Amino acid sequence: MRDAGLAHDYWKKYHTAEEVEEALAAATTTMIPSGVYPVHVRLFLQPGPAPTVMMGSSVLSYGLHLLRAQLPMYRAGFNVMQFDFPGLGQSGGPRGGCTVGDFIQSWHDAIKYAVTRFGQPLYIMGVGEDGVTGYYAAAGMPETIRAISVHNLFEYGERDSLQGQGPYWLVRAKAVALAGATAARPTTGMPGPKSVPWEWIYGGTGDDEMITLLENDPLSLQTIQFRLMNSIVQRMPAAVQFESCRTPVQVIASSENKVCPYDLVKRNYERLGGPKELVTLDGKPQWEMNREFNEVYCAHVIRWFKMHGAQPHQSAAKPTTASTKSTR
Amino acid sequence: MADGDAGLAHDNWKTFYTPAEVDEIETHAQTTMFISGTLPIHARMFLHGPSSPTVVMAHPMLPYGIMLARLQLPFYRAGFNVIQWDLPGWGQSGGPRGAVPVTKFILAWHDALAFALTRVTGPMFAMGLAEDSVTCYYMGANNARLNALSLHTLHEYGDPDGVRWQGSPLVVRMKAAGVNLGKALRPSLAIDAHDALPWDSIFSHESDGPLMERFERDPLRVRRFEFPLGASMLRKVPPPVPMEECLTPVQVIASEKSRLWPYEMNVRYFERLGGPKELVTLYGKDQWEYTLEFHEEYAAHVIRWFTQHGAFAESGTTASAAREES
Repeated sequence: MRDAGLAHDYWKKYHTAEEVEEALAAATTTMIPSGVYPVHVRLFLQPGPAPTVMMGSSVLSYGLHLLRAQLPMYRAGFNVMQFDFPGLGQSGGPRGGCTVGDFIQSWHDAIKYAVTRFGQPLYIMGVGEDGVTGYYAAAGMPETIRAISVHNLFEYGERDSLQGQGPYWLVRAKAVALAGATAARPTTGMPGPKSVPWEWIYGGTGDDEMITLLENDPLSLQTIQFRLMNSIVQRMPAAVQFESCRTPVQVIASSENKVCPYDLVKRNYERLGGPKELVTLDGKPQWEMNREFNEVYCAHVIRWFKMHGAQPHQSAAKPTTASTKSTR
Repeated sequence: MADGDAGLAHDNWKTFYTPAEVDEIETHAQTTMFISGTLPIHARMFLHGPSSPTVVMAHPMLPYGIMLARLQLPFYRAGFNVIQWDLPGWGQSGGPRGAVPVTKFILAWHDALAFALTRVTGPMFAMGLAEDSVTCYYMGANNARLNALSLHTLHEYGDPDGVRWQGSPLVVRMKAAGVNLGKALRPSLAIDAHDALPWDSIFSHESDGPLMERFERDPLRVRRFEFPLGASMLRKVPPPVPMEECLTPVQVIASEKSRLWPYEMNVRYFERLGGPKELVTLYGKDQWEYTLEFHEEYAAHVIRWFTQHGAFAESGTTASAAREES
């Protein structure tokens, strides 16, 4: 049975026919418990020894939507282990209702599973919440996690970390109100597309069509509950302060990022105390859905991980150039 | 495709089985997910081929799919495809844990059948044990794609006997009012799963104690029953097909000493059924037992009933043709 772990065709609209075929041919799936939630895991495994890169998922979408960030790593000879956060995508839990704390816990549980399943070395790659929570979970584990690559880097509750919500005093006032609302009715929610302008996240040419597609995807962020919103706006320092981090961290920052401003990311990059690299994507928004953007992005990550000991599986000679033919 | 681990990378479920059973499960199980509404639903399948007869099943409200392989494997061994899915909010499926109302179970049943029909073409059957049984009837009665149903519990939502373990009809009605009020004020209110129903009615054999302890330790077991689920179980919702008008063959396997659903209730609804039917009484039994013997005996009754209704008839036998033949 080849369905990449989801017996539904909607996800195929995001990809070309050959990308779909590649995923169908290579993906296996399983689930791991995290707290009380079943967490969906998709694996792209090399036929022999290989380093493993771990990825979470975006809050707006889920693993099968983000294959273009996974397949280049697989083609380059890495095992890829991608998991959907609780309450999102194919994982269990209240839809859009699990918290940042749940996401961090799922990282811990995913790392534990990966160590058992693959051994070391492990590498962490994250783009949005998955990058920040990946740092929160993995920064203090240099023996297990060889290197990290993130796109956004901030501490929860930090100034500038919530764009579009007004000046900082207003953000804090909203945080207080949200805490009260969460205490009273934690499961009350609002439509996911109203939580943040999705065009701030996906800002590439032609991405507006993809956003419409994603908004209509039954497994995208249809609703976001007070308790998730509250966990994003409250202050929560990282377990390992940036200055104390000894794990090598690559930060790939988009200069035109409206969600997580370049200056905020650069400021936190400068605080990092260990080996580090800043890659600036000039003129780029937070993310683009096209294949070229994803492949350029992944090339930076692959180079960084190789610099830090990754020896990809050698027989992985698969296509690495973008195709323009779409199934949409 | 499952990663060789039956779709759950955790060892607790294996403690429910012998090593040979674990091996059989890991060798033959395939997993995927289908979508019901906005929820991802986990499905585990044991497949022979598309034209083999297929039984679709969910699970009751304590153990979830992977813990009921002793009920699933006898069908597979007998030549059936088995498509088992976890209820929304339960086991390996998505949704708020223990909080999804039964109306969405019914929707998930429809989606499960639709999913099954994309994979298999042979005679199709559905079976249920608890809430999955009642909702199975709501979905399956007079469903042209189903040859027959087998149910362990049968009632209409809103009948106080449907939650008899909660107390007398008066107490049930008072609780219903309280739960509805609580749900409106704060939907995340819940009661502990231990207080929601007597677990020892399900793990009722004298040797089931250790299994119940293992279930207790399971990370994915139900922890709480939230009020939206509780309210939905107490609300009056007539079935789309009244029992008297049901023409789909229905087998009811009733536990004589069930402390959850009274035997008399199941018999009362059985007697209302208008089509081909069979009542099997499990004498002296509480709702469920977790022994191998109980599962195999239970499955044997169902296999016999499904075989009677065209499971292994000539290829191409439709549900309605099998009904006429029977």
